Amino acid sequence: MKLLCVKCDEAMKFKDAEGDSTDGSSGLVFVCNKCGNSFAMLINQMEAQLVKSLGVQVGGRKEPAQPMEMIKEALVTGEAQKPGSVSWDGDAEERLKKVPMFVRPMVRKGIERYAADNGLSRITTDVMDKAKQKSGM
Amino acid sequence: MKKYKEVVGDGGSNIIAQVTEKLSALSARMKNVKYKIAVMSGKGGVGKSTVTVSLAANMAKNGFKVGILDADLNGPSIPKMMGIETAKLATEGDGVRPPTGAYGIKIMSTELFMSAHGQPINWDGPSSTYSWISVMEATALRELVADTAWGELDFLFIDLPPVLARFRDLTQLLGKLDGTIVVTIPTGISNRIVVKSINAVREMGSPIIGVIENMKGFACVKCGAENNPYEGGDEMAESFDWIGAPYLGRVPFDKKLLALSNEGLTEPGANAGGALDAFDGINKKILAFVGETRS
Repeated sequence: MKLLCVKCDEAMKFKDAEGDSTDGSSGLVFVCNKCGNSFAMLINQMEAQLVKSLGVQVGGRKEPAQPMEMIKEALVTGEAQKPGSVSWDGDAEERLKKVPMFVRPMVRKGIERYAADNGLSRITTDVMDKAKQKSGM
Repeated sequence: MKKYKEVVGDGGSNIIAQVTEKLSALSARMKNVKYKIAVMSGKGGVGKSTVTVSLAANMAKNGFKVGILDADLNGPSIPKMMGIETAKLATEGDGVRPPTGAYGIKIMSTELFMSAHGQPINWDGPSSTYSWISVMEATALRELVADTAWGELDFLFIDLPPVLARFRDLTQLLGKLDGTIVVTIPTGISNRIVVKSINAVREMGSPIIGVIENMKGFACVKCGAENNPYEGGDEMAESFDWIGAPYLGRVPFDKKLLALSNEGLTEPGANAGGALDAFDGINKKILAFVGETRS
């Protein structure tokens, strides 16, 4: 994208960019070095996102890019499980082992969340039943 | 009024320069990778990831330096299959050090960035439209290739998802690959889709190493008799030869390969060890195709 001052038939120069954190939009200011006129191109959240998705910054970078910058910034990585926030009874652990491996971490997390939401610090088979009933597992 | 081509430069927006710089960084990173091999199909559920891990492990067992790029951004399975799902990532110079699995295979995948492994891959951004997601995914793919400190590799195997769009992204990033391996299973519908993929790969100017027929038969655990749960006999080899996609070989069902899904590949005397032998002949054909004289 290049911007042209129609009056002077001169290429306009990028001057500044300002983002609005409340709605994700941005304003990009360009100036004509010949007549001094400037104008702002206002881009909406989606347009700003499209530029950001390329892993670039309009006007250039002040800091060098970090490795995997876009992935680290934009990938929703989920909640890390906090170890030790609840404890599991031996019977409950044994029962959990019978849940197929591919869903076991999700089931564990769901039960622990149920326990936390209900102020329980210990997971028993009874708590497992209640969590299962509530989530429809 | 001046036309676009008459205006020199980008007026200071610097976008083109930044994109060019990133592509140069990618090119510099790939200079140390001798052969870049894509594993794709176009059809889901044919065992692309299992084949990728097996090819890589077999190659690494024979002394080659090997990496795997998990290009299945939304359904990553390589870290689990390599037993490194919970490995921590660390920055090393201008890149991220890839975790290593069995046989020293280096791995990079979106899964390695996840804290909750059951969570789907989602990108933070405006939710009212997803038009930007394909750009985001192409950028993520570039970062996974270019920002990983691969070091020197003989082979980088790239495990692709069923969608052909990712193969396009990959070839646009890397240019011509050293070869593409297409995986099918012995069913009419799989072969029909795979033929489309072969034609698409060819149209994109990427060389096709050949086709691997996965899940082709199994030996009865009691009597050892050969069984084939799918249709068709050995005519597939000739059929693919007719369309210029050499038949690299068949991989039978082998329960040992299930170990990859359950506990990940281990070494030495790997848990999937015997099953990997099915890839000896296939890898010899890959080595011949790329012109590698070591074996």
